[in-house]
Amino acid sequence: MTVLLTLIPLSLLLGLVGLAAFVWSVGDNQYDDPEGEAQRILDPRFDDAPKSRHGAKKQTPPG
Amino acid sequence: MTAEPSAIAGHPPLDEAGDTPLRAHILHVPSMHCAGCIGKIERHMNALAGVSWARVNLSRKELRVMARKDIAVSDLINDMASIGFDADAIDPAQLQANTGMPADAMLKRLAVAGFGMMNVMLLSVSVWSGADAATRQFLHLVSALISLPILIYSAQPFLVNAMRALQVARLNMDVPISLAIVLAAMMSLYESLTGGAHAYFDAALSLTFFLLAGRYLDLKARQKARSAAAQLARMQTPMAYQKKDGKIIEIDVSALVPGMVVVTRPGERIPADGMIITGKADIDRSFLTGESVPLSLTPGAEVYAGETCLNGLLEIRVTKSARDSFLNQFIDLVDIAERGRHRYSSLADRAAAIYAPLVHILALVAFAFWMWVTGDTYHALTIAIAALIITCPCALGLAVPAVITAASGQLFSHGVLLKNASALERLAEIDTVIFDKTGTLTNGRFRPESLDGWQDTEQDLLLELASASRHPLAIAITDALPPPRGARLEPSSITEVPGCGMKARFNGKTLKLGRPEWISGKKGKENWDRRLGFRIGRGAVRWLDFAEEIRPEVVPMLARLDKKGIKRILLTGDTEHAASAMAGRLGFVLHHAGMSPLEKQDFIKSMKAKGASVLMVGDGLNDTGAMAAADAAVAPASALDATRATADVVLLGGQLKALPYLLDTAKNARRRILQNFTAAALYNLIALPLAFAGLATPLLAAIAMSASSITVVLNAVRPGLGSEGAFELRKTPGESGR
Repeated sequence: MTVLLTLIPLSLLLGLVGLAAFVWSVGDNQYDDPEGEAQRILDPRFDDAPKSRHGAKKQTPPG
Repeated sequence: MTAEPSAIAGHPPLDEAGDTPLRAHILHVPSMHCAGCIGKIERHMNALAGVSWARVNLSRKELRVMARKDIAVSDLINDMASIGFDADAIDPAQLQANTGMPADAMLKRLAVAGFGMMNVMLLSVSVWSGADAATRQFLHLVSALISLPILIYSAQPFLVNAMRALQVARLNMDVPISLAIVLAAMMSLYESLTGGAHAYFDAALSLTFFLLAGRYLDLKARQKARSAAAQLARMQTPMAYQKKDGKIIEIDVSALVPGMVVVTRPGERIPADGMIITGKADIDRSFLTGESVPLSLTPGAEVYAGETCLNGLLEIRVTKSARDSFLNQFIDLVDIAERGRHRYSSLADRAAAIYAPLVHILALVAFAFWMWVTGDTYHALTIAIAALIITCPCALGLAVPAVITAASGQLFSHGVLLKNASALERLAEIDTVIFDKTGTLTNGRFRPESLDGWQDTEQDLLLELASASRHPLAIAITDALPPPRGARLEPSSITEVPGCGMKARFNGKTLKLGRPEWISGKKGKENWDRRLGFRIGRGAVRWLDFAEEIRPEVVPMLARLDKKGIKRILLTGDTEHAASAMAGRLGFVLHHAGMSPLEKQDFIKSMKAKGASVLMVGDGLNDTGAMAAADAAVAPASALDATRATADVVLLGGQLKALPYLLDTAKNARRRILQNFTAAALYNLIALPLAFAGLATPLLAAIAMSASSITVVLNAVRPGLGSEGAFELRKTPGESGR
């Protein structure tokens, strides 16, 4: 049963990584605008490059 | 839980330049709804000089902009207007009061609890599948190590609430919850340390998890609702431009005092009640009067905070501070009305009032019984705690929020915006619907009824006269008549005689279009309030009768209400003649005309006193009192801002036809909430005797708890919440029958 001594901490560690990622995503306001994110995927502006973290910047020429 | 100040303003924008100080603005843009709108707005705003960052939040219909300090909110609003979006400035401080921070904190707690629950559950499965004593104790200790810190963090909302309730010697739902969690954790810790067989860590964690899920949904629903008074407060601009010693400075609205002079530019809202000193402008007072025709105001005229200055630069002497403004007094009134409605005790409250004491009594009875039978304190305590855990209102906490979340989502997809979470329960009990006439059943426009058989020249002359006036009846004529077929007749010297009508000369004859009294020179008759006379020279008077245009969806909607056996009444401030004509056309059995706003309110109060559950459907400021007095209130999206704020439900896009669907959904939602309560009670009915008999193992507790919670959630999301109404709504009028 000594395998438990390795596997339990390992599984906890993996779980914690997932939890940390989730907590980070909440803090990063990723659940702030579910409707908007769902619509943004339709916008061709983001086809070639993902949107920058602070919204659509001016790199893309307007129009 | 992070305290960064910029978190409130969405993504914290970085000030790259550093030397130019930036300022954050939040604009409310109600009309955006799709990817196209987002793209258009963000592209346009980001391209503006001085704007360093702009981002749309579609869920909240907000646009956040970081701009150089010298760029005023009104410039941004004008820019938005130039691409076709109406925008209002929102005071960030006011928004902070009801923004998403607590929901985010709740979500984190929920995630942590979920993480702990799953891990401990895995360990518990190994225990249940028959681990030997040493391994079992090891697994229990690992569970304890995971559970205790997580419980301290995640169960905090319940513990804090329970403490507060106990401090004032009251019982609420959080008391049995906290007791169960704390006792379960302590007993399990004792068992783990002494090598006992049963530990309830998984039960304590799943209890926390499921209950937090219910709280989170509840919080979300509330947040979406956002208080009506707060919505009204959005009409108050946060900033004013004060004119002082010839210079214009920006000051906070709350700092305005009577006697100050403020400047209002085109497109801005007026910051405070006051009097115009210089300047002329058209003022949009529609939020107060519902009249969409702007008023043309000159120096000396009074203006009110919240009105929009459409054109022209105004200097206004402030006569009342922002606190005493008419708008603020109105906000207070709405606030009082809202709080009155919140006194409605919801199903969840009523269930909790029965449940909370019951759980404690049962646990106590279990303890007393086993003490009496065995005399073993440890044994009796174990059983009492097991009973407490099993009966804990886990599913009960989810029963209401799950249904309300599912229902409000369904309603929204049908163009019905549920603003108040408890409205569904109140709507389910409605047996009488009271309609306002103008603007609700009708669209506020008129249609001339008797234009057939007119000669072309007569029609063309009528059109010339009517198109020179902004009177609603004249506009109705202009809309109804075809454009002139030949050359324009161009009568000369068209003048408006105030209070009478239009006058002109054509081919040496006098043309007159106006009130029947003025045209015929006789005294007024009752049916003359919807009639105009038209006369060429000394010829015969042609009469024009007008009918109010009924919204096209109203007739089928009323028919479906009748089919449900719901009583409907027409209440209007209009004349008896107009009211009875409308009642006749739409088949109202009861109508009351000439009602003042106060009489409307009293009428509803007397209906309620007679035991009726009243729904008020209205759109004007004169309906708000009645709407606040009614059990529930619905407003079309075209209603005044103030009225929409008082309503529990707003029908978007003029979807008055969704009203029967709304009532159906409310009834179904209520039925499902009751089903959920029954299901939760049923689980307890099975589990409780087992717990009493001392057979409640942690495995049984886990099964009962998860099964009841899942049942409740599945029942909430199963299809059919909108009933058959959903299908009828999509049908075109042509395809009748099923």
